[in-house]
Amino acid sequence: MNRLLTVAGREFRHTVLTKAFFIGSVVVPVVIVLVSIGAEMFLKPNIPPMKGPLAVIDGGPSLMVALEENLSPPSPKTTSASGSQRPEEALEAALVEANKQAEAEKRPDTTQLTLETRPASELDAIKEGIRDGSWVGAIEVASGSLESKAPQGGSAIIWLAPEAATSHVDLLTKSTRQAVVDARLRGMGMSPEMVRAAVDRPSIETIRIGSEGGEQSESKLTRYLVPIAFMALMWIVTLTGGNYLLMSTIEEKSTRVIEVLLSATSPTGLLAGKILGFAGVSAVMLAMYLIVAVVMMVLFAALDIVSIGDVLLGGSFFMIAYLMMAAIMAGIGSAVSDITEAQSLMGPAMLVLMLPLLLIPVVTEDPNGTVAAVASFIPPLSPYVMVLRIAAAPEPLPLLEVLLALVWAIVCAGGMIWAAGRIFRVGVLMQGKPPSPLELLRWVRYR
Amino acid sequence: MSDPAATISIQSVTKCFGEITAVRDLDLTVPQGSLIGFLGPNGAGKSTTIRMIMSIIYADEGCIEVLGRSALDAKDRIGYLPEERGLYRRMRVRAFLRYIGRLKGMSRGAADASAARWLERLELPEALPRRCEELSKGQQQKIQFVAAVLHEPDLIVLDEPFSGLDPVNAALLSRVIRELHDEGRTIVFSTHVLHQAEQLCDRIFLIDRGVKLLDDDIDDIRTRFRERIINVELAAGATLPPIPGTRVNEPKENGDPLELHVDDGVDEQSVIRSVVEAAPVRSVSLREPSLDDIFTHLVTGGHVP
Repeated sequence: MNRLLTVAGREFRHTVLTKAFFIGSVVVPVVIVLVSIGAEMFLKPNIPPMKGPLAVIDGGPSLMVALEENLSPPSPKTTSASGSQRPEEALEAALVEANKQAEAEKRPDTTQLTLETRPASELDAIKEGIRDGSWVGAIEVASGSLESKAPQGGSAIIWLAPEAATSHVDLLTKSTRQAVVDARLRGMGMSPEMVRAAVDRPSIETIRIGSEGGEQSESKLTRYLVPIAFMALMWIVTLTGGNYLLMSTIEEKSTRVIEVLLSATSPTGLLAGKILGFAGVSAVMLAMYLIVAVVMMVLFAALDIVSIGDVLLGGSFFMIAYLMMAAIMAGIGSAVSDITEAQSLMGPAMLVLMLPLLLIPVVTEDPNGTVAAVASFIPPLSPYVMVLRIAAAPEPLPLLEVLLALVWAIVCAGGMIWAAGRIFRVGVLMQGKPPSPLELLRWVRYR
Repeated sequence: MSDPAATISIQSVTKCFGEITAVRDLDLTVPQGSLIGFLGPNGAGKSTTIRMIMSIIYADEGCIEVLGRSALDAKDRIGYLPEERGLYRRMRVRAFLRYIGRLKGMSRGAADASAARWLERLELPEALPRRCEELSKGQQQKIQFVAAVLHEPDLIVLDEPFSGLDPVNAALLSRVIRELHDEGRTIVFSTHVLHQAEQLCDRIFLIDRGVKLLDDDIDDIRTRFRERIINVELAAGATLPPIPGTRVNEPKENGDPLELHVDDGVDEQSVIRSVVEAAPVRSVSLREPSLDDIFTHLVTGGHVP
């Protein structure tokens, strides 16, 4: 046991306490967060205000009113979260509000903009004025565009200085388009506000009626985002941990230090120590991401999205997924002499390891379907698919099925670790041509 | 039954790798406190046997006991310098030796103290804080030797310990091995450099193609392989008349001594007296077979007398 912990401790320290790990797993995420926050706080785009007169060529009263309305700054609205909102709804609402806020911040200040209607005969002079800065720009709406049945929706030209900011162009384009539509509606005797309210699409809540009488509300966040995010995180972390194990085994084999280690501990003990050490490494990586996720959920009051039971099951399947990944990587690492040879065996392995990602659409769409159910029992897909199913299922999966899948996955992980141990014992002392898959099977049977 | 006084006891051990039999029905007993040379040509099965002794691989048939139990249970009492040597390149020497010491059951403090003491003994104290990759090949080899003996083992197994060492460091290592032997430790080392085995060992074990050819004390081996040849260096210009009961081999090169092959049943001492009486000589000696001679003789098809 002491040897196992000694090996695990070395692998952990020599991976986690390195600059590469610190930079890759700690500094980079922290820098990304800091840069995002910093960019948000200090690097807001310097959007110049729209200042001065804007000519509207042959602008009639209805167009002028509509343009005034669309170009004036929006009145601040406050939205408060309803006390009856569920955590996932609150999170979704907060994301939508944040998006609106970001959009509003990109809008130029128009408080100093004045609209003036001018005849078409003055257009050339106004263009000169745009060049020398005495006019902000000019809007010329084509005749007939304000009619109720304008050909092809009508058209308009916006004249601007060459140095005009993109945000100004965007604002004038959107405002003119909306103003033309609003003017048309008024011409037809309709209120644009009422029409907008009428065509505003309703929000739809999906409620699944449980087979045993309960009701389960569903949001896109819980239905797709959370399961996919957690499974992808699990996949990335286990793959990275497994990759560290692969590289460490190759290093010990290629530098021939492996035999020194085997003189002090058994191959099984060495492998177990390595697996334990890199499990710690994976746990640190997972913890880094989970801390960020928990902080986000606390901030958005969405901690209830995930239940304790789901967390425990997710943790169990994470450990199983890591063990399966570690078994594959240890087998490959011990069978090859260098990283180039490893790549030739990693190709087929990656094809298998990519399958959980390819199954995401199928499993999230139908977590209780045949594909999802069958994949839950195929190693090394099972832990990833089960996590996806548990998180995406509209109502809890049958307990018996979850327990069966869990026990089966543990058995499979144990079998894979055993086989990896057999391959490891033979492979780490072999040099030369890497073995074929058939030879690997023979190694499993060696005494 | 294994010998209770034996440090290593190998009985009827066979090991195959697929179609190849690396070791065949091997028996070996290494007495406690002996310094045994494990010899054999490339591919003889030395490293396979050593790996089985170390429980790194397992015998297909037969039984191996080390220090009275399985090597797996006795690993803390065995020091091993494998033929395929290596260090963690980026690791510092102190950390590496501490790691190996911890694997061998030492405390962190004891491992550090022992590492410092051994590096001092091997005239390499300055290596302790350096990264392994910064050391020369010879220095790395010394570090690997320290890793093998750091925990003061009862049995030390050294696979080609002198390879890669310059003569000065080879002599230093040779001295240290002798000191370890004098302290009562059992030492097994394999080598291709036979004169080193001859100088160091009190016992020789020779295998070829997985089969034991020789297992005996070095003096007994010499006695058994004595060729009953008398080397004669004559004084300048002298000639040797025929000596009854002998055949003469002419020198292969100028300056080489004459070789008198003594016939069976003839006393060597009376032949020597006859030679001295028959011609002025510079030297007369009974030729002792070297380990090289015995090794070559056995491996190229000779038989054990």
